[in-house]
Amino acid sequence: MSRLAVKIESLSKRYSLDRGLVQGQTFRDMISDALMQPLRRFREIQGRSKRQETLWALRNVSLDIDDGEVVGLIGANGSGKSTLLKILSRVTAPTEGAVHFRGRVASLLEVGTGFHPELSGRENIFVNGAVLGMSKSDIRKRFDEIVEFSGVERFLDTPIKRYSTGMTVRLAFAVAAHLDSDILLVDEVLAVGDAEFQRRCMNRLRAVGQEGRTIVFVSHDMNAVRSLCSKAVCLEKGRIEKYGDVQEVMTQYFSLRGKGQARWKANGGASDDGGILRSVWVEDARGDAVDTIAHDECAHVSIRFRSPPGNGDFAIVVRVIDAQSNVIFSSWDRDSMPIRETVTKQEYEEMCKLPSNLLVPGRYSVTVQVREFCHDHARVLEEVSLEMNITGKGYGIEKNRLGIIAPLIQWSISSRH
Amino acid sequence: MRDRASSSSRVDEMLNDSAWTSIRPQTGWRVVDLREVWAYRELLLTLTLKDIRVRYKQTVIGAAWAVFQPLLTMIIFTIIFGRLAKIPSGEYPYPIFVFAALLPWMFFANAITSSANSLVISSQLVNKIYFPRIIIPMSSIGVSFVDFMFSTAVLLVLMVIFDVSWTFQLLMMPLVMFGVILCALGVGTLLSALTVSYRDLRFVIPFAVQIWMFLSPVVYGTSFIPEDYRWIILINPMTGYIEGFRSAILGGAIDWFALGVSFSISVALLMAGSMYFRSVERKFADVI
Repeated sequence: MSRLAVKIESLSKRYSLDRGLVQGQTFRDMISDALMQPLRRFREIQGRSKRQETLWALRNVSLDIDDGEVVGLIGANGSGKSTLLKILSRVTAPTEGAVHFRGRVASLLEVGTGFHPELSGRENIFVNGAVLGMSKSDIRKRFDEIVEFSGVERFLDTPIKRYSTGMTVRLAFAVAAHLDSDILLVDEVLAVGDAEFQRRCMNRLRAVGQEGRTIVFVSHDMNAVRSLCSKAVCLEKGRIEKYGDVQEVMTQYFSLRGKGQARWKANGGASDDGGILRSVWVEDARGDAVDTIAHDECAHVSIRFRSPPGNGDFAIVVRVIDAQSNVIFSSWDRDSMPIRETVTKQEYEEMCKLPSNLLVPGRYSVTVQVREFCHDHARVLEEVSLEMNITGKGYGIEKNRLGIIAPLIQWSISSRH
Repeated sequence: MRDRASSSSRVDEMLNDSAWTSIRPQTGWRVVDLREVWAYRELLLTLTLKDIRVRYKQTVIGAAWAVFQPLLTMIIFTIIFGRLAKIPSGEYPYPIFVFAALLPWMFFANAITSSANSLVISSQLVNKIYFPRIIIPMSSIGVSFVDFMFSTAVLLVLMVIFDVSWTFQLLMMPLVMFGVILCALGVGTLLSALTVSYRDLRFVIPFAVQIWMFLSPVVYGTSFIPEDYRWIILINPMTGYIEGFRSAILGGAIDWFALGVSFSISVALLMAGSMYFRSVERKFADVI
């Protein structure tokens, strides 16, 4: 019987939302509003205003995590993942319920917390280490390892404002990766750095997991969760949808976002959840939303989105994944389209035309991702999966056709003498 | 059935184990957990050292600023209040009279101004990492104290220049400064916690600090105030400290009563400040 490491008991967290003030209708109203404004602001800030709406970011969440378990935390944006992590790391307090844990908790909610651009790499290692809860002697003991992992030996005494972004991130992760805690909370930190560095980070985290330490890992990158975690928790609207084996939970998660339906709408189309993706659907050549398409027909993946705030440097990615979780291919909108100039918050619709005569008949999931370019990597902001069935053509290409793809290949014959 | 009973008792047993930490909703007022602050002393030191290191990076004269500021202020005050306004400074030269008061005052003023802003500035830390939040205003006060030490060195030189002899009363200086630190901690923690919710304070504080200086015996001595109104100035906790500091330097009689009043008010402020801080501490990450 394994020991418990974390016990979460009916945890809830309520946030109050600032609704903003309604503007006065008449001139008189406007004047009295202006006069009352400071008083109202004061009440609002104090949280006494009746106008305040509340939001339960977490509702009645109970969870037991065993010692040495690597647990992935997945769910859509706004499902409560980050809130849960913030409570676990004691950054914010729960409204109800309790969390018990054994040993030391270290959290990696962001790499490079406490980094100061004017300080040298060496100085920053010590500051960052202390912030993350390492003692000076711990840091000194592991200093060489940290430096080696980061690969910035030569620039150790240079202020990090002269570092490239990649170097800064590597250094930051190097410190964090050498934390000696019993429980490690990781939030999306792998979304930075180049592919090679990400691989090293994943290996490092895997090694940490193998040392028997407990890890709670939040990510939008399902591949990372799958390869790192043994168990997963799927959160949906602040509640636990499913907890168990990573593969099972993953399946549940994908079916949640899409649920075999032909069209996915943000928040069920009910209200604005503030997300980027508004709706995603597959349509056939006639423009009807479908979930089944013939092998020799083109499937059009339509994506309606609202461009995210920020520099607008983002991409839409479509992945086609088969029933065995193999990614058949992935396509980026900028592969064939000039990089668009978008206005923040404006809605757009993109269409990705999947070639016909390509996929082996069967069940697929079409995953649409919004990826934002930050540093030298594109991190996943949002992800939606739909189910898509490819049906065979009369006689030839059927379900049991061998091969990963079934492209229509031109054959020819000619008679020889 | 039996299984469940035994497993729940096992959980109880585990939770009773001291290795377990519990996070629960926060209720009511709490006092500062000194043991926890002590456990995080290395972080306090690191953050303070970091701020000190960063402070004078890419400045031309660096830490000399800590010396120039009070020195220049002293010169200006000497001209305006000493020469032009002819405010009496007793038997001592006005420059040293005002400088001896400027040191504790400037420490206090810098300490509360910087600690008031400290939490908002460190929002990145507050949002991402757990540690006793009180460490942040404390480290700001620590940084101001290092500046104070620099200017104290100047004071000792000035004493030689103005022919003020070093007496045993100088030993009073650490005691007085201990009081000033308590007072700065009290006001600083209170203001830093308030600034998280009410950002107006960022604009109010620098202004209020200026007024506060003129309400404190910095450019004048307490004896300058008519006897009947002297009690008013005594309510200001800095009065006793500034006069006490001045006497320690110049060798005058120490007003123990004023010092006692200041000390009591400081302790009360510290209690109020730290209790308020603790009671809102865990909401910082949601508000900041």
